[in-house]
Amino acid sequence: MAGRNFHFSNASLLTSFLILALILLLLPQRITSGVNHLFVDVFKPVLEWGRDVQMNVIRLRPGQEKIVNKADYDKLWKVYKNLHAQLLDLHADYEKVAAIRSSLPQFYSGVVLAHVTGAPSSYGHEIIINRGSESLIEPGQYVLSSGQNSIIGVVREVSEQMSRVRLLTDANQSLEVRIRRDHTDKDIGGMMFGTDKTACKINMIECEQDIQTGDTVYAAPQAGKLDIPIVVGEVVEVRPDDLHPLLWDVTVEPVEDMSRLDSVAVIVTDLTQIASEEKR
Amino acid sequence: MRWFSFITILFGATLLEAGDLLNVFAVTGWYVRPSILITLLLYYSLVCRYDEAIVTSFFIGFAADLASHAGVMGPHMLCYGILGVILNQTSQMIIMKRAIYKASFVFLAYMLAESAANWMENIKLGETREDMMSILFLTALYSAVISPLIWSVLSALSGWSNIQKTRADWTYH
Repeated sequence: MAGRNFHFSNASLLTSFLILALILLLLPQRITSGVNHLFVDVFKPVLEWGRDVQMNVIRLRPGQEKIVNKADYDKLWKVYKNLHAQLLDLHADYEKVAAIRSSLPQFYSGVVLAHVTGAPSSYGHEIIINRGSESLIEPGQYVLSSGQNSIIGVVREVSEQMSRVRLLTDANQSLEVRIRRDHTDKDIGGMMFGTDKTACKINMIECEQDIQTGDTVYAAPQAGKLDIPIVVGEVVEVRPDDLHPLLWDVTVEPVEDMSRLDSVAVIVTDLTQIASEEKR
Repeated sequence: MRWFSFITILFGATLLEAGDLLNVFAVTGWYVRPSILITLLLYYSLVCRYDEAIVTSFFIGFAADLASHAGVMGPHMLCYGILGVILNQTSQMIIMKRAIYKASFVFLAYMLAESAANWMENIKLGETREDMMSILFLTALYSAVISPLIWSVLSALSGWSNIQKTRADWTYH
């Protein structure tokens, strides 16, 4: 009987929903993002519908053969650039330690392969991957393209089984980089920022620095995250900054096409944990 | 109103909004896609009774939070809920006979609701985006363009949803 007589007035209904929405808004992000991740995780197969169609639409453009050739070319180009960067680093290390046998710089500590389950959207150049903290992924770790040849983004948020990766093209993403020209060993450091479009920008580099179109941009090594520089993109435009004429405004085009990402590799660092996980 | 039919329609719209299928129709380098939930909000807030409009608006807002790429819960629920209630209260004054009026209202509603929701998301995440207004504008425009189609589908389903048609739900001329 009590249940039948129970009645919400319109005002109390509205107030209840407002309070509920405010509570959701004020709760810490790590708690509420779990709801979002759960939704994506549960309905992942449905949410991925159209992903193949989208990729086929991109691939089935006129001059398909050229696209295939370019992909092969890009892959080889990235391999070459990475090997060249490693070679220079190895050379520098050997010169410093002379006869002492030092530990060679590792390519990277370890990688976790992940499948991309959410594509970039208009409100953020981010992707969702199907690996999370259970696979030792943590915020701030670098993410490589499927060929493991170039950096495409950084892990922003992690749940147990999923992670959000912010792509380099996102305006909120910054990355410490080095600009290097072929057949030289001079590095020019800088910070690269996304533009929310297909290119990135490097600002705050003095015009005295010799930067040209075609120079290669590498992600700078970070202690505990990245052992060696890895290629990010190529300088496509260099011009004086509109606001600060004494500084360069450098436009960088990432080597990886962010709209075609299907699987990625996250660089994880703690190999001892991986080993213990495998033993279990 | 049959709540089962509402939940089913909302569920379908949420999956579309959150999924990759709409990326097939994405335009420009910003991957601008139309929003379906905003048309749902406008439709249900204008054709439902006050108490039903409260529930449907907040539910659609919750769905928009789930589908949101930022992964923040609450902002859309709050903004869509409040906007839906206001629209419902003004439904007696608003006569949206032509498709162009409905499209215009979808455009304005999207700009209002998403601007506020994005502002809250930015405060919570501590991030800002310089081109947010451009993306909002283009998405609102895209959503407005396809809103007559979605509205027609919802009108066709009104019998299944057991919704009594009001002045706001007149067919296009």
